[in-house]
Amino acid sequence: MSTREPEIIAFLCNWCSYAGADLAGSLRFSYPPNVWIIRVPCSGRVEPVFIFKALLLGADGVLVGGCHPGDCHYGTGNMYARRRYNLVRQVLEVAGIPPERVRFEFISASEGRKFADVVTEFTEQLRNMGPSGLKVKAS
Amino acid sequence: MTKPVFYTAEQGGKVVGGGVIQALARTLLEEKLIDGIFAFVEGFDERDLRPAFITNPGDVASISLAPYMPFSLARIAHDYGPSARFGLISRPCDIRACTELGKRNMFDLSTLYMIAIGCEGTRDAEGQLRDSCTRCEYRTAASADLNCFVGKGKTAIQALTEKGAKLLALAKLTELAVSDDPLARLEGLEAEAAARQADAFAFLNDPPEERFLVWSGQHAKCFKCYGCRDVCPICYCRDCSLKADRGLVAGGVVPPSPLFHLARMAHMADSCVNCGQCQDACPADIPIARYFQAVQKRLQGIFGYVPGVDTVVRPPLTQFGEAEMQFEDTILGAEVGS
Repeated sequence: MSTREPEIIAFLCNWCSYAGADLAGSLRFSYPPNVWIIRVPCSGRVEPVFIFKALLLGADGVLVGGCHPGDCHYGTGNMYARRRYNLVRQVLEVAGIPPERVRFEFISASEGRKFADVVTEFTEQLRNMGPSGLKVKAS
Repeated sequence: MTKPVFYTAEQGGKVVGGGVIQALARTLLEEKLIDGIFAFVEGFDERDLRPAFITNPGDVASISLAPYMPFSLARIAHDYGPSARFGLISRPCDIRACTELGKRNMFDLSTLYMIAIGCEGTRDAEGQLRDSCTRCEYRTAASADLNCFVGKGKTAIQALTEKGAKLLALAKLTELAVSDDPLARLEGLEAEAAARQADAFAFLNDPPEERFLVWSGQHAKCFKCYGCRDVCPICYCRDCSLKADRGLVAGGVVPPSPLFHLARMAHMADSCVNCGQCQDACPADIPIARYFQAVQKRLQGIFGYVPGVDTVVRPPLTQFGEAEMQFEDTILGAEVGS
């Protein structure tokens, strides 16, 4: 039985999801401290390679947060991000890495509750899945 | 699609395919429709094909149509640049790769002449059918200008574009009254290949843990020669993110981080044409092309995009459907395909 807590890297878009996470804090919703947030200008900035790299550096899960469809500050970045996320899932699936370790969520700036819920649920899910074991020494 | 018509360019039937391909190449050069032609020419013997850029109409006789595929000519054409005006005489996978590159702004497809050779599968130096060819469902190239089916002393041609039809008229070939359908045999091969995919991708039904062990075991053989990257026709960045100084994959580490393979997959899988060059180039015998095709097949299921079969639809990661704007689910299915 491993006591190691799951570690989540979250790429959050500056305009919606990051503000959503901020709101979760302002409203004092509690969520597990297992998430490391990296702010990106847009979810469209998140290349599949970032996600793979996070997993290989030892993250148990990767969360990508973007604006809801139609709400992207730049118009369409989140639509491309979603397509890439679907590519990442298939690549992981074929390699035998559970695609559930990567999650893409639409979280708006007003959805502090949703952010807290997503992180809680994701942490719980990763805890059940156990450590990813993907960490490589040099990457 | 028009039915293929048989032609010949010589009397006596000594040259493979009646010299039709060579006549088309000569016409392209003589009419100055292009600057040169990428094609294979024979080296030491029939199996030793070499890539060539032919600019002199007198050299077209050396073009070889032997069923070998040692390189991707589209890959070699990269270096020619986006202002290129060239002809490409190659196998359908190569034509499809060239089309994908056109969509990614590497070439201006409207200036190119793509002549596809209907393919019954290509062989390696030992004469074995190449692994990718056993699973190939694209024996003709729908994006080509001309689809050619080489037979004994005659060649059937299907003109798919206006440009192709014009070239065909200029070449002044002798039309033959033959009613065979060269497509039927290729369609049979395509069906066989599709059936073989079930076996080739049976590993996807294994439990994920087992799949991961096999996958990581295969990639642990990698010693980062960059061969797969260098031969891939789709892979075109001048400044490759896999280079040691880009901070993604550390230099001097063998085997490299699996990121090397995952990154290649993320960059190329959506346009992979299953040419199999990566697998042929791999000195460690990693079944790269098989993994690529497995991912590509799954992406086809999601985005409904088949690489290289047309010149209009953009690759799935560079566009999205209008309907997706109303779609709140994060996992896409066939219903939002391009």
